[in-house]
Amino acid sequence: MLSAALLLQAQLLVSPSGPYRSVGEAVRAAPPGSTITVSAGVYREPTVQVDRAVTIAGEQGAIMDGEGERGLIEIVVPGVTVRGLNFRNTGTSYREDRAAVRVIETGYCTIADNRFEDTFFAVYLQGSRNCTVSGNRIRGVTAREATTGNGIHSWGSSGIVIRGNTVSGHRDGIYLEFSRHSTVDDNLSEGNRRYGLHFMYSDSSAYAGNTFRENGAGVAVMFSRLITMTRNSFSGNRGPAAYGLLLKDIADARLEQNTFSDNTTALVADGASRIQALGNRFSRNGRAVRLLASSDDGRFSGNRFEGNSFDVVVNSRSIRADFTGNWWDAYRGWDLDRDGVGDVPHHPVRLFTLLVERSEPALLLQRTLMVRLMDAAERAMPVLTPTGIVDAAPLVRPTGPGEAR
Amino acid sequence: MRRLALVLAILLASACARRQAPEIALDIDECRFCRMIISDARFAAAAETATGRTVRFDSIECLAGWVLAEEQPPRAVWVTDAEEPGRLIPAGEARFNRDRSTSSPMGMGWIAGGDGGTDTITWDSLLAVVRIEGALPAHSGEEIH
Repeated sequence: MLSAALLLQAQLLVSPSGPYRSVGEAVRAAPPGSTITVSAGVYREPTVQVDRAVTIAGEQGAIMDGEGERGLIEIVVPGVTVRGLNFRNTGTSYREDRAAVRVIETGYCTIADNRFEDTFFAVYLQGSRNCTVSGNRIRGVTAREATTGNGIHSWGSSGIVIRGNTVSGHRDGIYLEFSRHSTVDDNLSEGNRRYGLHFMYSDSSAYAGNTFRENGAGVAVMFSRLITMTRNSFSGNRGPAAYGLLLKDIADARLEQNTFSDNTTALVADGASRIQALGNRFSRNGRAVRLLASSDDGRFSGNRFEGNSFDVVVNSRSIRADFTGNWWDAYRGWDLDRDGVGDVPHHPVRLFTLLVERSEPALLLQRTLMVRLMDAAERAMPVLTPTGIVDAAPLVRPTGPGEAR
Repeated sequence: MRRLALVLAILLASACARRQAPEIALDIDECRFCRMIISDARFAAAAETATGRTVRFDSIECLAGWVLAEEQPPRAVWVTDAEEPGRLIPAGEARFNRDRSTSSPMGMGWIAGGDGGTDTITWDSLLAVVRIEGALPAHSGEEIH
């Protein structure tokens, strides 16, 4: 019985000296369920169409090279695993959104522990379900002027798990469009031109434990609902209009235990309904939280604000959000009854910032006597503060996740 | 006569100057309509507002959505000929079609070309379509629990 099972698990070997000299040749000969081992060597061959459930496992030094002309693998049936290969040099084609590994309207695939270099898109999932993309190292086109696609791209797919990958040098490191029920965990996305991670029309998904560093901007969650964001690090997005996280036309997002540090703006919310931001840490940002008109019913609690030039900025007097129970390094109140909660409310929005929102050049006045007088007047007469945003129970001891990474 | 010619020349020069298509800084400028950072030159678009401000867009669908939402018509609108990314042309001179196989930034697939071609429509027709269909995909999201 066991031997029969072993026989069914056929093994095929690809190497420059045979028995199979190309991956495609081996796939065409492989019975379903078999494992194709690819030895060290550079394989230049037509795009391999994987039309049976096989595992393709690269040994160290196994390289598939697209010679600037083509994608390398297309998966069109369920149950395929691609592991341990090096993919490089697909060249650029917008016409087909060329990808090193493309998964076409199928599912239950695993793309793990591969390396991608100079590929237009590295992994492209289209209309697929329940695939795992993990442990891959992806480095896009390095020349600044060259165009590039996304590192890991999920279009019209669901149940996708994207975990433990490193992605750099692409347009978006990881992009989910029209996808849902997917998770993006423990990835490092850095040095991508637009976003480290981008959600577009994608619902009911979560990302946790990722590091987004020095991308054009960190993460954009747009036109999506029910997105949960936990324990991520957003840092070093320093362009004039850059931000760590953009929430644009979304509803019911949860943000917990994330750290935002050294960004021009940490969090921008525009048309974001019912955000719950709990226990996050905002350190050394130009602006920590920027709420734009039509962002309603947000709740910010248990967050830690420290070393930011401005903690909360709004562009309209009408914005309402619940900011009860945060720790603010700018808080100047006291706690005489020692219950851990400040006895006077904190008003995190400064009058001055409303001027800056209306006219950016006003920022030049930030360190002038006039603005300091304005701040002092606000503290003495909180009625001057332009918004309904107030923390009625500011914490007197810091909270939030540990030291920003 | 000579004075008239001078006046005409100045008018012409200023008109041309005003029509100068704006620059778009890829991976830096944001779309006025949807806020996405403009990254794909094939779909970039721009307009000059009624008050003379330059605004930029990541896609034709966003430009159309913005035009339809503005109270006053813009002074000028430009789109990119997808065959010649990096160069903006007046929207009135372009022809449009919708190519579903092309992944436009907002998912509607509107794409512009400089010449006629078959199955193409004018900017005004495109606006009429967008007025009915909406600028962005009907996002069939799940019900919120």
